[in-house]
This record gives sequence, C-alpha cells and structure tokens, in this order.
Amino acid sequence: MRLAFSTAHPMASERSEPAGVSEELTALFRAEYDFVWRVLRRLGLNGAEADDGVQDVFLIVAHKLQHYDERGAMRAWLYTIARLVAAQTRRASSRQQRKQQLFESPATYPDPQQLAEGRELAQLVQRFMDGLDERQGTVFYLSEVEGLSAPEIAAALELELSTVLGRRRLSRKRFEAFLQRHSKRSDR
Amino acid sequence: MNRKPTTQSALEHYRRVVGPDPAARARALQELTRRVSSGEQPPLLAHAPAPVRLPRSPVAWKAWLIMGTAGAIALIAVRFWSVAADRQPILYQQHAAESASTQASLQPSASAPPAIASPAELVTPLIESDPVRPPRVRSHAPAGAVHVRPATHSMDASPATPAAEAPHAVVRSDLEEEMRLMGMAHDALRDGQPERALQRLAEHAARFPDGVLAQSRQVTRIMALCQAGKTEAAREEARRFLESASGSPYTARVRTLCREPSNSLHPQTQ
Repeated sequence: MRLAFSTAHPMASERSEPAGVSEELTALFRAEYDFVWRVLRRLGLNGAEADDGVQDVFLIVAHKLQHYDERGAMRAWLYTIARLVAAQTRRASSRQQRKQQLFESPATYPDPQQLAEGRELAQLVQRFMDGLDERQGTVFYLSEVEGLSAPEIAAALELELSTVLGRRRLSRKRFEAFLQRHSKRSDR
Repeated sequence: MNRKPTTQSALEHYRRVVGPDPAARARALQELTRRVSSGEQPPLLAHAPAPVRLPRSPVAWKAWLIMGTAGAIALIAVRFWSVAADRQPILYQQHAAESASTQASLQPSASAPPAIASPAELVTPLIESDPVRPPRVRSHAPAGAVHVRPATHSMDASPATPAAEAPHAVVRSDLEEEMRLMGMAHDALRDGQPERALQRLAEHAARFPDGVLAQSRQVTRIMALCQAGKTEAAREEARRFLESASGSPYTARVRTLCREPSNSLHPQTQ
C-alpha cells in the first residue's frame, strides 16, 4: 500500500518533538497497525503486550515522523522500532509459552468450522516457520506473511540484498515442499 | 511469484488468525491520540532507530550494468573508427607518392612542374594534447592537393609507423584496464559495498585522471556516495558535475541521484 504525505526537509534538525496526531500519523497508524501488531507477536510478545507495544512503536513514530525523508522504507523502519520495543517488553515467560499463546487472539471467522480450518492452516504455517532457523524464518515471515520486498527486508535486517534473495528463494521452495508433504499425508 | 492457491490460503489464514482484533484498532488509535496529545515521551525514544534506507534494487543495477557496457562498447567502436579514419589517408598518400615518383622517372625534363607539392608546404602535423589519443596529422593544404608524408616511400623506413601503432596498443590496454576498474566498482555497488566501490574509483582516478571513462567514474562516484549515505557530499559532487559537464549524456541521470521516489512511504512489494 502506498501512502502520500508531506514530510520535513531531510536536513531538518534533530528534535524530539511530537508531530501531533496529524492526518499523516493517523493514516499511517490505520495502514500499518495490523503489521506492527503481528510483528510484535512474531517477536515474542503476547496479545496484551503487543497492544501496548503498538502504542510504544507509534509514539516513537509520532516523535520521529518529521525526520522521515521519503526513503521508501517505512515498513522496514517500523520493523526496526518494533524489534527494539519487543526486546524491551519481553517478560520472563519462555519463548515456547509465547508460541502457545500465539493463537489466543480472536479471529474473524463467521462459523466454527471455518475457524477450525483457518486455525489449522495458520498452525501449519507456524509449524513450518518454527522448523526454519531464526534468520531464514524472519526473512520468510517478512516476505511471505507481511509482503515486504527484498530491499525492505535487507534494510530492516541490515543484510545484503543477495543474502535476503537467497534466503527467500530457499524458504519459498521449502514451504512449497512442506505443504505438499502435508497435503499427501492428509490425503492418506 | 505465482503461488499455488493452497500456499496463498495458508498464508492468508495465518494473517487472519494471528492478526489483531479489528475492533481493537479504533480503541488503539484513540489511546494513541490521547497519549500523543498529552505530550507523552516514549521511554525508548532515545534509542529509537533512524529511518532506514533501501538498498538499490538489483533490477536497477542490472540496467546500469547493461548501460555501462553498451556505453563502453560504443566508446571502443568510436575509437576504432577514428583510428581507421586516420590510417586511410596515410595509405592513400603513400600510393600517391609512389605514383608521382614513377611519373617523375618517366619524364626526363627538369623544367617540368612537380606533380606533387613539397611535404613541408602541405603537411603540418598537429599532435593532440590528449595522451591516450594517437597522434593525428592534419593538413592545412587547399582542397584537392595530394598530401605526402615526409620521406615515406617505404613503410619500414618511416619513423612515424611504429609511433602511430604504439599508442593504439596503449589505448586498447588502458581502456581494458579502465573498464576492469569500473567493473569492479560497479560490482562493489551491486554488492552493497559503497566504500569498496569508492576505493576502486579512487584507484581509477589516480591512474586515469583524464581517462575515457572519467565521466562515468564521476557518476559512479556520486552513486557510491549516495549509497554510503554521504548525501551531502554526493549532492555537492553532482552539482559540480552538472556545472562542468552540462552537455554530458549523464546529466539527466545525475539530476535524479540521491533523490528518493516522492509521495511514497514504501515501494511496491515484490
């Protein structure tokens, strides 16, 4: 999705004043709320922590948005802020517990049958990502689930573009194979 | 990428199941509005990362590589065409001189006017200041006159022949070396290593300050500075380039360097 809004001059001085709840911030919040919330969950926060984390992320954005100089990597920037917030917010509960809590959030399915199927497929995706190492899993998540482009991922994770392209290609292949294996098992 | 329906639906279900409660978004926005309006400082503000910058897309680099290669080939073609054009009159002059000599031997009369003009009168060699260009002989004689190289009835005897050939060989090897250095600089940029690219470009500048690819080097240096985040330095060099090379084919591109796409927060996802 593309948003259009004016920003401060790139050479504007570094100040920490809130940009106010401008139309730009509101539009950005509406466009990227789900993305930031899911990323925070992916980074290990539970539902309530993710709610708080979203607030912290966008509070920082409100203060820094005036310095955003149209570099074309808003989602990559949001990811780096979310990573910082998540690192500070993590509590004592283990990562395994957090994974179990991942599906606690209410889904928007009209009937229980659909909900059950949706959960099953979602858990399948989660199981696949759990089987990847952290680096490849993060690239797969940002690329396939969140739809970030390879340059955005490279910027967010501070990786070489070629590294991201390689990991993405490999994880896509593995995902296809994983689904095929699962589908064969289900057919039996 | 063309994904199978199963893959798409699995990812879509994942987004829906793991996503937030849609009703919570409005509440969250109200809460954010209240906190921002009250001037609340986020605790992590001091550690907040600066906006990140996208690396150049590989498609753009491929386009640059193709354009650079095509430009280099065009330069080589122009250079060889120029060399061929220089050599053609020389061969013609030798043939004319030999014919004149034969005619003179057949006409014993000493009073007969010379069939050709004196070399000293007709030929004024002007060697261009460019060290990589072969020396070029320019004639100031009137149209129709036959040009004769001084004392050149035999190519082997001519001191100009090796002198004319040697610079061509130098040009060829220098150009190859220039292209090699520029190629390494482009490779470094494509690999996201602008500092390495700048080193290669500095090496090129030291060895070939007025090389054939000097303008290309300047443009590539501006790109490297942009990629290294040295925006101000890049813009300053771009300004100097535009002032000094206003007629260059690179000017349109240089004007767009270090500027990001306007009116967009992030590019289309792939």
